[in-house]
Amino acid sequence: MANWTQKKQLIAILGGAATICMLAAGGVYHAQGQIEELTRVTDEKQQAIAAAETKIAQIPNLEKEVIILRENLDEYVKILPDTKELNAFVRMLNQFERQSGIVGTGLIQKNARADKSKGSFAAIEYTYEMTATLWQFLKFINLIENYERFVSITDFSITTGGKGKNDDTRDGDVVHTVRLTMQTYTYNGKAAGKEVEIPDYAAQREALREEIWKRMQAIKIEKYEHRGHQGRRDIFVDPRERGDLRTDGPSPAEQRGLVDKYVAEVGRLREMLQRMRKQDTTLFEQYALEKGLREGLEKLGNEVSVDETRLSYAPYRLRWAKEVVAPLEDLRQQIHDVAKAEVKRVDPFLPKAEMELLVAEMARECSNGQLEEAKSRYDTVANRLAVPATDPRHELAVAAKAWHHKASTAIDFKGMDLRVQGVVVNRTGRSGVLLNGEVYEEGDYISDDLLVKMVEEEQVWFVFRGLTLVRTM
Amino acid sequence: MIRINLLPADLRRGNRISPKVLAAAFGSAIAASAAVGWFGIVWFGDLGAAENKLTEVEAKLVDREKRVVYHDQLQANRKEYSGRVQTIQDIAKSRRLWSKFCDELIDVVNNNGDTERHLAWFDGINVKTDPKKGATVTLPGNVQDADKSRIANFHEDLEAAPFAHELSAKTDPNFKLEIDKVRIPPQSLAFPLTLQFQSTVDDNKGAKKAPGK
Repeated sequence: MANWTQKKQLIAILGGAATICMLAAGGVYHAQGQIEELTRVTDEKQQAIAAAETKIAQIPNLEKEVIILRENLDEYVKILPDTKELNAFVRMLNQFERQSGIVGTGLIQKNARADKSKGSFAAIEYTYEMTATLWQFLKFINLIENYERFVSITDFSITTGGKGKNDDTRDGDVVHTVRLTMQTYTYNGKAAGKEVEIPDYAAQREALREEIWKRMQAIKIEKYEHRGHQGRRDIFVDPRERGDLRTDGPSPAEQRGLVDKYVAEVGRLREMLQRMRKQDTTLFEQYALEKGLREGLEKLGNEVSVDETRLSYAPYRLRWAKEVVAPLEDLRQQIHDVAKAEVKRVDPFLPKAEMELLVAEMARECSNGQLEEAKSRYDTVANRLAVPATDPRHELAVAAKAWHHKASTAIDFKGMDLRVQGVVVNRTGRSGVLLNGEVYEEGDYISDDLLVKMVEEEQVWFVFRGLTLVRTM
Repeated sequence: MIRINLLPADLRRGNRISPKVLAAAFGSAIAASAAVGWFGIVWFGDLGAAENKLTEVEAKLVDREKRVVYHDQLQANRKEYSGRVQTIQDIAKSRRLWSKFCDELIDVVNNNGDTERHLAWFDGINVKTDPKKGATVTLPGNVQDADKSRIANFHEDLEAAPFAHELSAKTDPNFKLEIDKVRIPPQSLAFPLTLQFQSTVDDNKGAKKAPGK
């Protein structure tokens, strides 16, 4: 190189340097390409991570959802069970038959079981033939519709049995021939995927208990409670009277009169209840009304049970049930509620103002000879007069009791068989009276609690249970 | 005379590296070093960093993928369970509660015991359900007496019944007088009655489709 000319040397140096630079640049270019590729892959992976993180963020909610759904799975299984449950279904039909009273005459499965392999759910149809009264049939289909397993009644027909005079009856109702088709579904569990294992399942399930319960309510299938007979007539039976069948009971017109009579009586009792509840009704009136209402209810209740058997005309039975039996029961319940409310009262005694009024009214009635009214007024509130001696109302309660004693004694005295047949008035000595064929002098005891106090020309004074009473001739 | 130059060859005036060559060599050395350095930085720096980042991201992704698989399994479970619920609800919607309908019909016929407005009864009932058309109820009936207004009253009450809003069609009032001498009163007006219920299946998505889900 030492012998190289300067030019040669320069070319060699610059050429070498240029080669190195070019190699480096090529290397950098290559590296940049790799970096770009790596960056692209990294970006893709990061996007995948972002997507994964979005999914991961959904996991708690998904877990919650799956736990809720899985916990409710038992309910779904009840609604649409697998094929094994079909035997239980047939057994259940038998139980419903017994419960409703229908008589099953045939059960035919309509479609073949092979169809169910088509999907997760397979429809199965049964045709059930039976004889039943309308009420038995309705109870039966209602039991089916309310069964925990989903069953749909698709077709049915009723051929009436109430055409002749010798109709087959059960409990007095005509028996019809019924044919119904039911459809249910089975769930093919094999088609279901594998159940994923959720960590900490038990604790999460516990935390979601309320939500699980709520969701279970949401999947409930619509149900209906059949109301039963309720005095209604069978709509598949001609309700008109048969001229060729003579009955001993009252005619339809008489039965209608009977229903009207009871409806009026129930109306009267209802009115009493309304009056009892009015704000302007005094407590005494309330008690008197309540007493009257209780007595009326008892009397009517006894009569209703007797006359109920006389109602044979179907169209009136519903009115009887709705306008007599049900309102009577309602009135009984309301009276019962009133009694319960009374027990809950804080002050068990009559208010002072009411007590003063009671004493004043009893005094007035006793003075006017209205003894029964005075006694009954006291009796209606007697259970609220047992005021203790420390209570300021005690005196009034004692006064009321005294008037009650007077009224009761006078009533008892009035009811005694005391026939005054004659008197002997002795101005200087003891006078006498001829009573029920026997002679008694003043001061003589007629019985343990009855004494002849004084005999006058036109009246005889007695002392009865410590009370002086006069019997006029 | 012979002249002997004792200086080393490179220091001899004629053999010394020219400043041009020196400068070029120096410049080339700097350029080559810079180029190699740049390459080194890019190769071992940027590319290494990119590789490291990728490794890191890949590790992260592998870690996430386990959770993603879990997510997908949960999703599949949820889909299956929800599908089942939906199917049950679709099937349930397609059902009509006939005990409810019968109770309501009995109420209309009994009319709270008012026999003056109408006193009707039926000779039988036939119910057929078509998923597309809906249920058809055929009820050949009668009303007591020859008073034609009772037929109208009965139809009016049927139209006011709770189930009436679910009907798509109903037979109009018509009748035929019948005499049954055994009965009191013997006259009655026999009438055909067909109640056509709306379909309970929504468009193409219904109970009959459900099993195929």
